[in-house]
Amino acid sequence: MRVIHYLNQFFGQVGGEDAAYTPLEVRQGSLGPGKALQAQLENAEIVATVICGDNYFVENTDTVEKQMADIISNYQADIVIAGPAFNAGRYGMACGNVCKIAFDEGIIAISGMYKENPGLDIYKVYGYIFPTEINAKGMKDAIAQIAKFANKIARGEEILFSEDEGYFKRGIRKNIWKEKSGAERAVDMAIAKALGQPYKTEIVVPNFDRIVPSKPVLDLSRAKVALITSGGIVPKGNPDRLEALSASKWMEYTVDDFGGNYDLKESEVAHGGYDPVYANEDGNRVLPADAMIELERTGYIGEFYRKMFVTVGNCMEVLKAARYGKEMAAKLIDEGVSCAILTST
Amino acid sequence: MNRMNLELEWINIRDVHFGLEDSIEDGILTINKEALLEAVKNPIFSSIDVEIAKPGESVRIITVKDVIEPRIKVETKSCFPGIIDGYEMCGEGTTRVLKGCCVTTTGRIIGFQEGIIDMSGPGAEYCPYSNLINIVLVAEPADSELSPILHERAIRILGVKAATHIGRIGLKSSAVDAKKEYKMTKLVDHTSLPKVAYLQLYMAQGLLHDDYVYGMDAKTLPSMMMHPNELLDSAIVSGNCVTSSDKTTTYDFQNHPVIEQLYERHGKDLEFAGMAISPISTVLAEKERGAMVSINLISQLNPDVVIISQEGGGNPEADLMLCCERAEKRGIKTVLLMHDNPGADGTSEPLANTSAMADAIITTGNDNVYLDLPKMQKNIGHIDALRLLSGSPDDCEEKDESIRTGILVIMGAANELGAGKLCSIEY
Repeated sequence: MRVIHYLNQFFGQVGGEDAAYTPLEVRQGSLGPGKALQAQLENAEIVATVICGDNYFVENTDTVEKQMADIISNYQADIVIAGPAFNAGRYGMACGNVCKIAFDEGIIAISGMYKENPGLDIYKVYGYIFPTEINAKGMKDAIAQIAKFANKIARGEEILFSEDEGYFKRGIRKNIWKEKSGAERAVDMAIAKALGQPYKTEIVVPNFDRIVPSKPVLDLSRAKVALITSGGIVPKGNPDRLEALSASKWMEYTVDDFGGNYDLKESEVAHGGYDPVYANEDGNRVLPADAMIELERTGYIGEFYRKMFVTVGNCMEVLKAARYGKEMAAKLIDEGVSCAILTST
Repeated sequence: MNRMNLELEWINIRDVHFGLEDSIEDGILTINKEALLEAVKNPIFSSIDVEIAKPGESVRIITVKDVIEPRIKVETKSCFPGIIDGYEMCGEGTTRVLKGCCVTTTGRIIGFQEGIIDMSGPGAEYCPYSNLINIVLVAEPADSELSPILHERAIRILGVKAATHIGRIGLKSSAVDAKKEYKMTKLVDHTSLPKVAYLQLYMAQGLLHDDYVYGMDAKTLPSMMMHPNELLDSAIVSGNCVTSSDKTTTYDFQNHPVIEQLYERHGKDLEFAGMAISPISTVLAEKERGAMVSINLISQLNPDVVIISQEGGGNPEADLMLCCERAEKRGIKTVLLMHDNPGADGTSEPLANTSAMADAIITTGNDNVYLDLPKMQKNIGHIDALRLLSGSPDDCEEKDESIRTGILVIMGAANELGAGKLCSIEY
């Protein structure tokens, strides 16, 4: 079995935070934690180690994804191992993304992360990610677990479900045949539930908050109206480095940031989840500031609140989105805004 | 009061063939083909043929519309009250069942929501009808422009007439192989057993997605109580042309897996409290009405828990969740019986609608997975329709020795009454 190992700049021994913009590079064989990993692998060889700076990875996703896919193909990899990343957020996101690239190439991906690593929830579907300690003190155990699992794959053994193997549940549904019919299982469950006995639902339903829409604005001609987008319209060059996916922040921009006119000439799309061609031509297609100022001019609305809130919602976790929403709402209320228009993509 | 007792008399059918005279002897069903064709004739069809497909054969039946079990009421010599028969009785008396065979209707009605039955191979593993001897009706409309509504109706009537005709052959048999009595007895000694009710949500969506209760279009019916024996006694007939893997065929209503279970375990580990049925509309207000009324009805049974099953998928999940919430808020625990749709690779959200109260769900499988089916030696029906069937990938074509298609096209593959053992799990 041919293994490709992914490491960030720190574990790849390039440097610390100062080297976080190091572009992706390939080294032959194993290095860093890969040495210990290689020592425990049976019938599997780390043929190459890929190293990339955490910031470079996140900000050059398109380039890195293509490079990584090419490396997987050129080295004829059977398995990709990323990290372990412990609780390092950017590293976790990169390791997760590496799992996704491997998944898209049809290659098995293995990683290790601390349970709260933000990369876990977003990318767990794409690979077998094992739980680790919060930091590199847990390296020995993490490497042992990853090596054991990789060896199992190399032996051609069947991969069992998460409960048996220990990886984080990926959230993939797979058909199996049960011993009992659906009807019999339903009656079993009904009896257990009625008697207060334990039972296990076959589908765990995600629990979403119900958002109650606010009351309609009675008189728009007196209302101060805000414009918010999760479509990632940013000033040209993206000076605040708003991320293309699941942005780590939300920004306030005025037309001055976009060249000073309502044509938003100096804007571009930071969002990595849709075809940016049309909104790159004209930012108003996602962030319709021109329409808002026109509504203000004609008196249809009382005032257009000049600060526009911008983030990127692409694969945004619900909890983070809810936090941004609360922060934005608090600010709007402070500034006397009574109505907001949200545009999405 | 005399309770409604239904006795089913099973005649096990081991083989079916055509012959000069209708008869059943030693499990061999002989059908006079001409007499059958005469009994079902309808000028709307230019031709009607009957073919027999047996388990294990290299046969694919394609553009299947419905599957019906031949049953016959001994007292009235009829089977389908409201559709082709009168209202002498239903759910009581004695009904003969020709177990092991089925009448299978075919026809390109919608053109893409009919299904397939493979008599062998991997497709047969998913199909509850593959282990039955299929008596297949192949009927071609005289008018190629025949409207789907008239076509569906004609095929539905064709099926119930053929099933009745064949069922009547069962009356010629002097012996039956097994008898089973179905009655809702009052429990005296086991009053501490959990009381389990059943609510069946069934299709009433127009555009040929309708079931028929005593011949009445479900769209015109409110939520209502039913005696479980009425379903076993063919009160509900499928007129539903929705996706074949998750629709409830007439055979499923007659051999209702949930009702069978509840009867089987009544007095052992549960008390079967009774049941209601509620149509699944496409209109939100009607979904809300259905949930309110059906849980009001179920409340009258004083159950501890209600099992709620759906038919189809997608918008019916809204009905399921509304009913679940209504019941749980009333203090009736719920178990939901459904399939899921997380995509072919299993990575998407499995349900179109959810509720935090839906904490007990049985799934009859991921309905989106693909399957490679081998080419069969014989196709009954229209093999060219395969790539059009709902659930076939757009590049699905019969090439060389195998075809890749979705289990969605296999009749009953993810049967939502829980007839099968398919299940999906999250890993």
